[in-house]
Amino acid sequence: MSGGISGGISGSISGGIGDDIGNGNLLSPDALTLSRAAIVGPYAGATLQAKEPPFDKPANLALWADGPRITACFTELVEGLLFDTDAGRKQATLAHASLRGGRLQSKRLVTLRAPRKAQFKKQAELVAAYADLRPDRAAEIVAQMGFPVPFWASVVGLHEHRHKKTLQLLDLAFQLAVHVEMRFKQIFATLRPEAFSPQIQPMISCPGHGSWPSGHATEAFLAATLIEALLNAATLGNGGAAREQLQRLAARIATNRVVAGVHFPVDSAVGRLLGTALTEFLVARATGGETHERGFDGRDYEQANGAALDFILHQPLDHGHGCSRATHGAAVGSAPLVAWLWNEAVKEWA
Amino acid sequence: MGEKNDPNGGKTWQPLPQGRFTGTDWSAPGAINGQDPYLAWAEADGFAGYAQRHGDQPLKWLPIAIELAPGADVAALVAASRSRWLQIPRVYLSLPGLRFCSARVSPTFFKRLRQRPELSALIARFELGLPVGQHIHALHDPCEHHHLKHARPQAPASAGLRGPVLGLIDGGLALANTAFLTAQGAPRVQHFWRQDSGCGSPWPGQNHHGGGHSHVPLDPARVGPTPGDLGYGHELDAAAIARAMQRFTSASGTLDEEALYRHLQLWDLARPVNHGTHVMGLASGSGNLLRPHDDTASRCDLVAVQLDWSNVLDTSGGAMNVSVLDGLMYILARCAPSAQVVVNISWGTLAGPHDGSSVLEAAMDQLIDLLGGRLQITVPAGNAYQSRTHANATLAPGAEETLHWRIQPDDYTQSFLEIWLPEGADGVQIAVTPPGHDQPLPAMRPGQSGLWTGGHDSGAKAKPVCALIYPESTALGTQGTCALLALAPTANWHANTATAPCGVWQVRLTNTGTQAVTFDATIERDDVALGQHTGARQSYFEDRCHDNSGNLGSFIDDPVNPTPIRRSGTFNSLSTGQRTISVGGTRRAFDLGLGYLSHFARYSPQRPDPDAKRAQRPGVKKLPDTLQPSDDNAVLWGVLSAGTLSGSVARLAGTSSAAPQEARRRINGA
Repeated sequence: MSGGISGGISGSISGGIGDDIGNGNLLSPDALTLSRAAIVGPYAGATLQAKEPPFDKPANLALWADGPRITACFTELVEGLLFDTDAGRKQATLAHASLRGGRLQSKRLVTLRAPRKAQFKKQAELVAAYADLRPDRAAEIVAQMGFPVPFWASVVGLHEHRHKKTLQLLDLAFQLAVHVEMRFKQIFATLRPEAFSPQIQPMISCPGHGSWPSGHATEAFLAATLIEALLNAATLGNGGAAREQLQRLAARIATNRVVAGVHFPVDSAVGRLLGTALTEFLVARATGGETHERGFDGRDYEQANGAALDFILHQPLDHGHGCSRATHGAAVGSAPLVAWLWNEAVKEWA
Repeated sequence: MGEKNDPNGGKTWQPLPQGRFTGTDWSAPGAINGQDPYLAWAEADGFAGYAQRHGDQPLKWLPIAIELAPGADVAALVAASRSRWLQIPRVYLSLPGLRFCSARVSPTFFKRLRQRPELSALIARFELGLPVGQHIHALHDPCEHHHLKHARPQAPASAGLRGPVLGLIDGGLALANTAFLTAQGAPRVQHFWRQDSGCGSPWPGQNHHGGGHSHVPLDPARVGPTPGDLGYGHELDAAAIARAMQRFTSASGTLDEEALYRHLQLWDLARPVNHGTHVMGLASGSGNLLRPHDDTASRCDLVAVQLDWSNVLDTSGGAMNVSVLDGLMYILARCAPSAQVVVNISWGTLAGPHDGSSVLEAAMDQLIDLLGGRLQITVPAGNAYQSRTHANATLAPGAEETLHWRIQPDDYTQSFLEIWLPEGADGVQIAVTPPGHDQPLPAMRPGQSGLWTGGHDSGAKAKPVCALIYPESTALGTQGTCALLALAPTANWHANTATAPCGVWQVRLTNTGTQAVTFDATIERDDVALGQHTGARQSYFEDRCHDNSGNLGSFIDDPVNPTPIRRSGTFNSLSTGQRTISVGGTRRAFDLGLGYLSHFARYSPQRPDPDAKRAQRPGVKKLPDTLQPSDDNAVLWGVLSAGTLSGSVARLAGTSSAAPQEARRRINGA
């Protein structure tokens, strides 16, 4: 974890002249040196009233630059996350253990199992079919290669000058997603569509990591559900009203990666589940709520006759086609720093 | 089926249901023979494919286009029926001997058809029109028995326009554009009939799935009365148009065209470019400063019909029959019997028999015959030459051919494939393999039909996503038969809408007979018309050997290439009649050195046929009757014509631009 990634992402998302001042873009050291020499005179002692910030208070986050603030929140958010694998079942679980208090007890958040190679082979036919839409969607696909924040901003009216903490919360969430995705991708090590057919010919370069789960789908559904939860937590409570557009946008972003030829529809399906589960985890950490374990068994993601199943938004998320959700919830412990950032973001939607 | 997946995993056909409207048991032996398969499919999927949904309200009326039996005429049909269940616009009584008409029919009509041999003997066949909009309501003042006594054999000569008259059937007609005014500023449009009766929103063309709550009825005080002889829509004559123009003309004499069109509730004219205006400009406009026109066509009277918007939106099988036939009858009824009339119809679809035997094409041919040469109809040859929507092959006994029908994802509208077989081809079996399936569904022979639910996984009860209707004879044409393969959309925002899988649907034709059989397979048009947002996506054929490389010579068929995908034979389904004039598209400027190959607009059917020796079903029309420029040159596709507002100019490409130039030539020669 480095402040560089955080600051970079944050800067690109939240921008602002603060970065310019902080980096000294407008001033050279020589100028400051000359200026000081001209005005300073003899040292007169520590004459200013200085108020030290209190020890270990979340509100101190308000004092820091965006990058360090997000980094601090991030370490707290991922504290206790652990990955467990079952080599026999080829299954992997993301769990969370509260490291505080006496007994260490982990709670499963998400359990995934990838489709078989034969299923990916069948899915390749769908990828080939989706290639038809490339001319229509090229502009979107290229614009969505990074974190497609402007698309989310467009749905809910998200602005740099008004929603700084919201953007940082999204930044934090995207980092969580990236770290979790990369671990799952490393574990499952599934092939990209281009490995199954020379005719896929992706229209953008294939990313240097595994296909399943789709990172874009994970991040997109994470963003959709996080924004919805945030709006619901605010006094206007607009999450429900925005939900359909947010979900449609997430599905569009996910499917655009299939159109581009770098993902299978089943990558989108698991990404939707994973992104939703990560939002549930993040919100539970921020608000002291509970999460319900979710599961996705990719081997069940097919039609009744074994034919490849296309990803469609109205497929149920809690059951069917390999999806599952635990009936009973479990607390994952509050995270005061994340809670502070969450509450600040909620205020921006009052 | 129930709530769970199909236990057979979607490996079988289910029988067609009994129609809720017609009462026809479509799966009974022989039930599909001689019928319109689109009607059977519509009843199987609850009319789900039509742009406007009807919710749970049962339909009361359906529009149909009828061909009467030889020797019968419209008066005989009126005499043998009651307007309570069969409503025919009165205009159809004005031409004695006419064997075609449109009608609105109630469920009782189908009951009577089964009960009364004397009624069914009068009707040779009928096709479903578009069951949307006002077409599912009763007509105002249709034919009644008492009209038969007073039926005028011919209108008095003084009653109509003396001609020459240019008739236009299209959408988005800017009547007050100076291109369509006289030198004195009076409207040349003597009669204007708009077929719609309301608008779903201020912006026509938006697809209202399940909508209708925002339906705005038109105001007769502004859009004119319903023409009594047609029974629906609204009509303005030149005096009414002039009065409305006067109202929006300032003291300085400037007409506020936008305000006028808002007043006339012609919302589509808020767009800067409209297909109908562009076409009307080419047929009859006064041109522009660079290329002014001063000819008969730029001075003659105009009669314009604005097609119901459902025709623009529809992609459910191209049933324009009722709207276009009614439009033709309207134009003729406004003209004196002696008038020379040229009608341009820059519209069309792709599927159909292509031998002139569709109900609409046969009706146009008979109209032209009945009028003894005083009526000419120009129709574009079509734009789909490169669209891979047509396959043709000859199957030797025992041979088979597999077509790969590529259905696009994200297609919000239904897709259709028609397989046309000549007389005596009853040994051809058709087997369909959905995408992702290893084995085809059970093969069908003539007379068989079935629905496929895809073993669907939705929680709701399984709905048909595919039908194969393979009758021994069809209402869609008079020669041989047509097998219809119908597919649900591949995408929808609503979970309760059945969707079909996208990808390649394999269609295998096997000739088990003893004679060689030549077939044509044509995919129905499914694209998005100018200014619309229907979510339609054109499906197409794929084949390993088909050359669409874009290299020189790859824009015409290679006779020795074994691919069944043939550009030649791709033709507008409205323009294969014997008497109508089909117009192909050329380039105004071309490379003489490259010869005729560079003469043609690439999207248009060409002459001579580069694939002329290929075996074809009897009577199929592959060559345009004539040619007009539809591109300026190889780079500058399209030609310039009138935009919506006076003085504006727009460039549109397609044979829609070629046909009206031929209409202009004809009216000038008339």
